[in-house]
Parts: sequence; C-alpha cells; structure tokens
Amino acid sequence: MREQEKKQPEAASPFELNAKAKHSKKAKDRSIKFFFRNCAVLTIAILTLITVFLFKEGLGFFTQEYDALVSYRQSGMEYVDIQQQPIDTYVRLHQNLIRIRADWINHLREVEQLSVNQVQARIETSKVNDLFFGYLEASYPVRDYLASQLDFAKSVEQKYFTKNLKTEAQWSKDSTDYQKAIQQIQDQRTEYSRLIDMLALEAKQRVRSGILIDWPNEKISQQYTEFVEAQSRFTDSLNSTNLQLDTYNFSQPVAFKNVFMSFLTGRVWSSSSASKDQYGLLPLLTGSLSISIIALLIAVPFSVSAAIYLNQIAGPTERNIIKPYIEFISAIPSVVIGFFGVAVFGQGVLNLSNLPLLSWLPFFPIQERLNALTAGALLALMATPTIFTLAEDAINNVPGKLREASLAMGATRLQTIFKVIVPSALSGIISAIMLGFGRIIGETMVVLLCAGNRIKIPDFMEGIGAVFEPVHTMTGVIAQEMGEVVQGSLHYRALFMVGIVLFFLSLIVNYSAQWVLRKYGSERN
Amino acid sequence: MMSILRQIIKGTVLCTALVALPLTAETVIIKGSDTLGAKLIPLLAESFRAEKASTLSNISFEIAAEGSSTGIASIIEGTTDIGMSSRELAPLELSQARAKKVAIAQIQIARDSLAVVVHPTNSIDGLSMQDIENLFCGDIQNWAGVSLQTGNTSVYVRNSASGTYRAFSDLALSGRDYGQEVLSMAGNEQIAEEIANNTHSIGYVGFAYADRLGLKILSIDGIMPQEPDYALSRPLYFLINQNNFKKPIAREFVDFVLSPKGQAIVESVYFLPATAARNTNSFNSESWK
Repeated sequence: MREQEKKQPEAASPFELNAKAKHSKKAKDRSIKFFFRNCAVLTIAILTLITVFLFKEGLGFFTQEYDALVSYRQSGMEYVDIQQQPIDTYVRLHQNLIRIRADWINHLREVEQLSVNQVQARIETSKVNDLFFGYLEASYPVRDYLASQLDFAKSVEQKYFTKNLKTEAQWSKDSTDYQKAIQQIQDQRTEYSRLIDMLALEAKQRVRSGILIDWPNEKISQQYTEFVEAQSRFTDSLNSTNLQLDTYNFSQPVAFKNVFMSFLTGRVWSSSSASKDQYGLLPLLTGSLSISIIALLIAVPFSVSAAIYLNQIAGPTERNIIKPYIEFISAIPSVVIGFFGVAVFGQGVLNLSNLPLLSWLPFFPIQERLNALTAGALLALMATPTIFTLAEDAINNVPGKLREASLAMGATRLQTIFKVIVPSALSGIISAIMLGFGRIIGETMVVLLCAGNRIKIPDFMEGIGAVFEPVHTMTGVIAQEMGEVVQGSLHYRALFMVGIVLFFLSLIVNYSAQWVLRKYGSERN
Repeated sequence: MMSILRQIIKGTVLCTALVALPLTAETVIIKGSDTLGAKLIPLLAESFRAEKASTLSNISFEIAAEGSSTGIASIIEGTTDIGMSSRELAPLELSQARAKKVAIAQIQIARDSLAVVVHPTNSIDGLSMQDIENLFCGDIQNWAGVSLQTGNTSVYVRNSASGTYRAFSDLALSGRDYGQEVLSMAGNEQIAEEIANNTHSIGYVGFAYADRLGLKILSIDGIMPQEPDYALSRPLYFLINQNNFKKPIAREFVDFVLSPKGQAIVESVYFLPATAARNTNSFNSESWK
C-alpha cells in the first residue's frame, strides 16, 4: 500500500513539473537561502556586539587609570612610595645576606659534616645573629613609620578623591583642609630623615661587626665583602631619594604616556594592594608567551613528524590507527588534562628531579610541581591534534607529480620527503603551527590548574631553570579574578584590557597564518 | 500499537509527577565563602534536614562556595537567601548595598583559625608574627632567614577572590601586600595538596583543613591554632538582607546553626564555636529578628 503511494508521485513528476511546482520549489529555495543568510548575519552581529562590548569595557581602563594616577600623586601616596624605595633596596640587600647564611649552613653541614646542634652552636652565636637578624630588624622602625604614613595618605585619597564621597560632602582639593593634610605628609619628612639616618648608621654598625666573624672559607668571605660594598652603595643611594623628595610636586600633571606605560610595561599586577593597585601586563604576557613557547617546542617536532610519517611513509593500516588516535586527543576535556597534569605529569617531573642520579643538573631538584613546564607540556598535548591535522592536510596537498618526478630522478624516499615535499608544504606547515599557537595562548583551564599562578616575570637569567618557575597567564588571571571584581571598577576594566590584548594576539596569529599561506602557498601551483 | 503509545503516555505522566514533586519543596540558597561552604555548611544542612524530616517533607539546599566576594555580591544582588563570608564588608560593598537598599546583617556563626602549615620534614615548629610577615611579604625568601635549613621558600596563598586572602593579610601582614613570589591557589584543598608535595613550602589553610596527614601546623608566638589566644583567628559570618528575609525555612536554618546542636557540629569540624570569640563585638542572633 505504502510502496504504491510512494511510487506514484515519482512516476508523475516528469509530467507534472508545471509552473506551480517550479514556483513552490523556488519559494523553498528562497526560504532556505533566507534562513542561511540570516544565520550568517546574526553570527556577525553577535561577534560585532562582543567586540564592541570588549572595547567599550576595556578602553575605559585608561581614563580610570589616569584618575587613579592623579589621585595617587595628589594624595601623597606616591610621595610615601618614594620613601619606601630605599627600604625595598635594603630588604633586597638583606636577601643577599640570608643567602650568605644559607651557604654557610650548607658548608657546615656538607663539608664539615656537623650535626644540627653543632651547626646551631657555630652559627647562632649572638655576634652572628646580630648581623643576620639584626640587619633586617634595624629597618622595622622605618617600616612602621611608612605604614602609618601610607594609611594617612590613603585616608586623604578616600576623603578627597573617591568619587561618591566627594559628591556627598563637597570636598575639593583646593580646600585648606586638603592643603593642611598634604603639608602634614611633607612635614613628616624630618621624622623620615631621622629614621633613615638611624637605619643607615645601625646597618653600618651591624655590617662592621660582621667583619670580625671568621668566615669558614674564602668563597663566603668573598661574598661578604661584596655585600659590604653593596651596602655602602645603599647609603649613597639615599641621596637620590632625598633629591626626588625635595623636587616632588604634588600637583604635577600626569602624562598620558605614563598611563599606557603603567599597563603595557608594568611589572607588577596586584589587585588588593595597600598602596595603589597596579595592573602591569608584563608578568602575564611573559607567562603566557613562555608557556606557549615551551608547548610549541614540544608539540611541533612530534606533530609535524607524525604528519610527515603518516602521509608519506605509513601504510594504510597504520594510517587508520594513527590519525583517529591523535585526533581523539582533542576530544579530552581540558579540565581532565589539567588534573592529569597536576597529579601525574607534575608529580612525575618533581619525583624525577629528586633522583640523586640527576642532581648534577643545575636546576634540579625543582620545588614546585606546578610550573611553566607542566602547563606547557600539557598544552603541547592539546595543540598536537590541531598542528598534526593541518600539517597533514598541507602535505597531502602537495601535487603527486612532484613526488613522482623526484623519485624518477633517482632520489631516495627520504631525500624526496625532505628536499621536495616538506619544502613545498612548508607554508601550510607554518600556518598549522601558528594556528596551534593560537590554540595554546587561548587555553585557560589547564594553565589555571598547572601553571602555579605566580604573578612574577620568570628569572630568565637562570637559563633553562626558568621553565620550572611557576607563572601566571593572561587567560588564567581573567578566569581567576573575574568572579570577584566589582563591575565598572579599575580592576574589572584591567581584566578587560587583558582580554583585548589576548584578542589582538589571536587576531595577529590567525591573520599571519593566512598571510603565510597566501604569500608562499601559491608558489607551488 | 496503541497500547505502546498508552504506556508511553503513562510513563511520561509518571515522570512529570516525579519531577514536579520536588518543586513543591522549599529551597534554601546559600552562596559565598569556600571556608564555610566546603564542609561545615553541607554538614549543618544535612543534620538540619534530618531534624526537620518529620515535619517537612522536603527541604533542599543549594550551596555554592566560590569565595566571600561572590557571597557578598549575591546578597546585594538578591540572588541568594543567605550569604557566607569570612571577612568584613569592604566600604565599596557597603555603599553598593546602600544604593540597592539592602540592609546586610552579619551573624557570626563560627570562628576559624588560619593555620600556618609547612611540609612535615621541615624542622621548625613555630614562628613569630614578624617572621610570618617577612616570609609572606617576600622580605625573606630563603629558609635560612628563619631556621637552620636552606633553600628558597615556596609560599602558597589563596587567590584574591577569597576572604581568607584578605583576612590573612589583615591579621598577619599588618595590611601589607603579599610578596610577588606567592603562588595563588584556588582553595584550601589545593594549598594542602601542594604543601604536602613540596619540602620547601609554607602556606596557610583553615584549621579544619590542616588536620590531615602530610602537613605540619606551626605555632605562632608559641600558641597553637586550637588555643583561644591564637592570633590568626577570625569570625565567619552568615549574611542576610534584613529588608527581605522572608523565607521562614532560611530563618529556621540560621537559628539551628546558632543553637547548641548546630554549634556542636561547628566544633566537630575543627572550627571554634561563635561564642568562644575573644572579642564578641559581633551581631547576636536577636539583632536581625
């Protein structure tokens, strides 16, 4: 019954292609076309909306940061931070001193083979403690003074510069109250000078007492001599701070260049700071880039050679196994890869670094299992399918006659691959690598779980050891901090600015991948 | 054919009834601090449900523990019945609440000690407050600065969305910034996990999390976290909107938490009860009724 019904219209169709049917078919075509066109328009509209929103929220950062810098300067917080600088230098000097103490302890334990109690007896005499602990303690009075000064400056900022309060009480920075407050901050200068002089004097005494210590070996004694020299330079540097304070002008206008620079070249990202919040891109950018470079260094050799092997050497059975398996990696959710990274990979590298067999390596043993290498290695895993698939496509696109011609000329298979096929597919391979890079730099979950989230520029002076340092990334910081920010605040806008930078980065990467294809891809045809 | 259809319809009706049933139940939404929401509040909710099982058929809890800031934000936005917070409200948040006509009451339900923990192989047993400030602010970055051990310190802290992050900075660092070298982790568990795996580590976790293998709890100025005079302890709050706290079941839950039975549960998971506070300047349960 049904079969008959089905057959009937088919049989009739050649005769019944009349105008009406044609018309209905056209209408159907038109409606499908309409649907697809609208889908495309909608997609573009939503994309435009997202872009506009991103820029609208992000670019407000600069005006707000400008205001923040102005109030930072005029409230005297910057003045206090200048006073803070010598103390920061001092603390860094103290870190050198602690390193000397660490070397000394290591020497006693490893070379002289002393027990803990013996080490303690040797190193914790009052004379030695005076130097190592007294040196930092000498700075506590200045530190306390600076904390109270900063509190005061902050209260000035809140009173005269915070927007909603200003409208309530009509405070203006021309008022005599404000002038008085600023005067008070400046008047404290004499107290500051007194404390700093005291510090310099006491530090000198402590250091001098250190000369009497009989250092265990030549190297440590040399280190101490260097420390003493650095310490004397510290005393000299106080003059430059004094000069800065003397010429300080509370109402000096803030150059707009500084606003850009504070974001683009800022080395500190701190969102709940006691002083002014700082949003510097540099630590996040270096973190993202170093992880990406590590990931590419791992992923590119593997995925490109896998692609070459698959396309040129592997037999059909191997091909049927390898290709789906590599592409399957992209089906693993990134959070699962992240877990794997922390528990298996990170832990494995940590355990490996603790093996006595490998202790000759300068950067072993490592301390943190969450570091740039862990994140980079896992991102390499995630980028592999992207690079592999695209590179394989590129190699596949090389015309077969090139290969045949090369083989006919008597070249071996390897020669053909490396001298003919890879060079002609190079543009495609490079663009595959770039797209893989785009995939890596935008990844969030893995870096949040595995990178260690330390907002600090890695110490590249360490050489290869720098890859074992924890870093934070642009994507990670947005994911981590977006939940807590007050909408419209400077912090919120700073995160959007990071988003804009990311946006441009992936735009540039994608565009240049296409450019490489266009420019060099056409040669072979 | 028809009989199959009828069975399907029957099944659908049954399913709808099953799905619809919990909709009649009462839901309490609780959002905020991870310190409270990870362990204590689910426990309290469970025993509250057990207690009410005879009178009310169905009480369900929606607990989201994403940090104090989210808790405060959602009580201001009105998206939660009860907020959880491990810190005082910031001035900006207060002014936001005022703008939205939300009168936030803080009800102290427990106290939490922040335990400073190190790897068990670490030889130190205690630190002074000054040492802690120096270590977490990055003034001292080598263990030789506070002990006879050597090696760089790895400092693990909570991320800046957490109330614990700010509470620790206020309690231990005299308001100073953390050093640049700190590693920020997503939660107490993650910190505990990383410290247990790193011999040079130091960090802080809620005392409830410190009581596990693989961590060594330090005394601070000679006082351990479970003792009353411990310096790093802070109140934990429920936040409610006084102008709009209508749900009777949420009210009953708050009462239950403050009752002796609730406080016993608080103690069972290593928090200090609300009444053991050193400075009892907190809101008592009457102030919000």
